[in-house]
Amino acid sequence: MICSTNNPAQRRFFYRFAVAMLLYAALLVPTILAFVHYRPAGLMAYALAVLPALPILGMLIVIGLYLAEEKDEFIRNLQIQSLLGGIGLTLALVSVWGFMENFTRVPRLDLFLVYPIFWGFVGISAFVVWMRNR
Amino acid sequence: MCQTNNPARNRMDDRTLFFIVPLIIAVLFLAIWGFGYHHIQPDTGMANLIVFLLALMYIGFIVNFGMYLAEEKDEFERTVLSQAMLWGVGATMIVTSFWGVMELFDKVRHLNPLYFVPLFCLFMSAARILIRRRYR
Repeated sequence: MICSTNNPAQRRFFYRFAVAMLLYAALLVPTILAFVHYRPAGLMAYALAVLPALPILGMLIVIGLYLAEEKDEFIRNLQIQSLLGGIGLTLALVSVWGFMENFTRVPRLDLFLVYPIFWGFVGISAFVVWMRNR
Repeated sequence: MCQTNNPARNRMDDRTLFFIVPLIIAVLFLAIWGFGYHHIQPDTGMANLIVFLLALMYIGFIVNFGMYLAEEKDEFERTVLSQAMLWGVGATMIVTSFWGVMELFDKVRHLNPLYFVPLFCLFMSAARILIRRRYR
């Protein structure tokens, strides 16, 4: 995908996004291992827990940069539609799950899963938007 | 409801007033009557129906907002809203990821996913104010 695009803004976006994703995985796994093996408490626990959240901020900046750098109005509009679709679907899913947690017996939703769920929905949404505008 | 000069905004307000608000009132009444006063037992068909209706209220709100964004003709207004939504979702993801890791190891109480939407709205509104201020 990275090799097939001639769009420089998209190329930069893919590289930056891949770095941020790798950082997310690279920080999440050691954080969980540290919590499992060393059971940190107090300020150390908060500092460790905030580590995987930092690449999320990075990804947000990457998306913002891409939207600012993308010259093609049409492509920018499609990307925004995909992101908004992902946001809407994620909000709908977590709301339904929240009510089900309150009133029926479903397992608790681990909140750190919301972020990967969001990107899954952005992917589905991007596919739908792309199909519609083919 | 006070009418603005923006037709898309007026349509969103009308949809909120005539669909979302009655749905909120009906569903809250049902939920309080059913669960608050124990007329409905959890895990029954009726309980599942009420849960579905409660969720429908949130989904209606999201769909209404999405329709507004699609109908809005003012490019600037749409750009500000899209940017605010991105900042809102980013900030919400940061908070939920942090909370999720803390929760996984019992450092904090479980945060019900229901708080996700109000949290998102809060961050989005703050972002919208800041973005508007930047363009002023």
